[in-house]
Amino acid sequence: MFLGGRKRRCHKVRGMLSEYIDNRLDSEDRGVVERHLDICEACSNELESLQMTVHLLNQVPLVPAPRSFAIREVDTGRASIFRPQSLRWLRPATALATVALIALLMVDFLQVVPHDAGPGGKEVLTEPAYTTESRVDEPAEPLPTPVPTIAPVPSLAGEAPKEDVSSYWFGLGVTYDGEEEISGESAAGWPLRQIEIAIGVLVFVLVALMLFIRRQHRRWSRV
Amino acid sequence: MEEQELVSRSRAGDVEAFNLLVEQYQRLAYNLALRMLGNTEAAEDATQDAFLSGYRAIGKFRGGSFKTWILRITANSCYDRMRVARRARVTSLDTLLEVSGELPLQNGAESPEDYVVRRELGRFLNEGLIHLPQDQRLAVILRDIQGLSYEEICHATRSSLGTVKSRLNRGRARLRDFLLQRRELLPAEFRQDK
Repeated sequence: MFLGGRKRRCHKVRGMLSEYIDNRLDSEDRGVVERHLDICEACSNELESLQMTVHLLNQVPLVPAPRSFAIREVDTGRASIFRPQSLRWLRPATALATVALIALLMVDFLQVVPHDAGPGGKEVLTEPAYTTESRVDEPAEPLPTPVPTIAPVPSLAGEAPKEDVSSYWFGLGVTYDGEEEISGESAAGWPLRQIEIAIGVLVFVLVALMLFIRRQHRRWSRV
Repeated sequence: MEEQELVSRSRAGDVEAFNLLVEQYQRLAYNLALRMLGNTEAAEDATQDAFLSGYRAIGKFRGGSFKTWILRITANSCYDRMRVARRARVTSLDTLLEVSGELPLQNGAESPEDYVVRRELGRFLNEGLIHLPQDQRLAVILRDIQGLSYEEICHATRSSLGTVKSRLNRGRARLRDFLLQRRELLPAEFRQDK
């Protein structure tokens, strides 16, 4: 029991010897260590050998630098586009574009702003297009499926009617044959979809660019 | 010129200003790398890498002690090299003898035998350092060879005070055990048995 207690005290004191050597102990702990060292030869030897080690280490000289480690302008060139400054404008720009995109999506979802959403851009929603009842009673006409305008092959064309297909293509406000549907209606409504897609692409590009620069910068300036 | 001003100018891309900082701290950084890696060539490379990384990352420096900041970068550069060396199965012990381990002369004159012992002890001490785990080695070098305070070591190693104390205590004890394997090399006052 007594031996166990002493062993514990030795363990505790030995854990403090390094700080004791560096004079980092407060007066109370210092007193504990010194009182123990007075009665414990093993710990005194431990202290002495540690002091020897520190003494030898303190004598290790700082050798002069063998050469100048000054950096050259040319070595820093690669860093120019990967500096943190490159991200200064990119972060707020990405945040701004993202917020704008979210706002537009919400506006679109809630149908707050009239926009050209239907075929030919003719469906201008200045107010809710239909009520719940009208939807039930009058099922909406299905959107015409996009049919490509096929140029008649001379030998087979005969009198193939040139169909005027100006189908609404994926809601992009663009007819399938490539004519953009910017008719008089667009003046009355907002081309929200186009704006959303443009901003979405912009956000994607900005985020990708930001991630790329950050990755390059991290690799380049690992600290 | 004030260190803070040099840092500000370096941040603005002034290489010359940064090189004034390099001149001020290159000896400290090189010695840290030398004791960490135990090889002069690797230490030079690590030091050069550290200063180049320091210049590139100067935008991240948020004030405080530039000395401990650049020592941290140097230590990281050394860790990188040790990692690569481990992968290549090359230990720094292989090239340990390259390090000048000579301890300074204490008295005015010494016999050739004493000179040999002093030189041998220096080499043995370096070997002991290299045998320490990396974190303990870094703490011991920063404290006992470079003379940093505990707080500076915390900053240089991004560690808590308790961690630094623990690493120092264990590192010194482990190095002591290593040195006691060859008591004949130790100064006379330390040769008696424990």
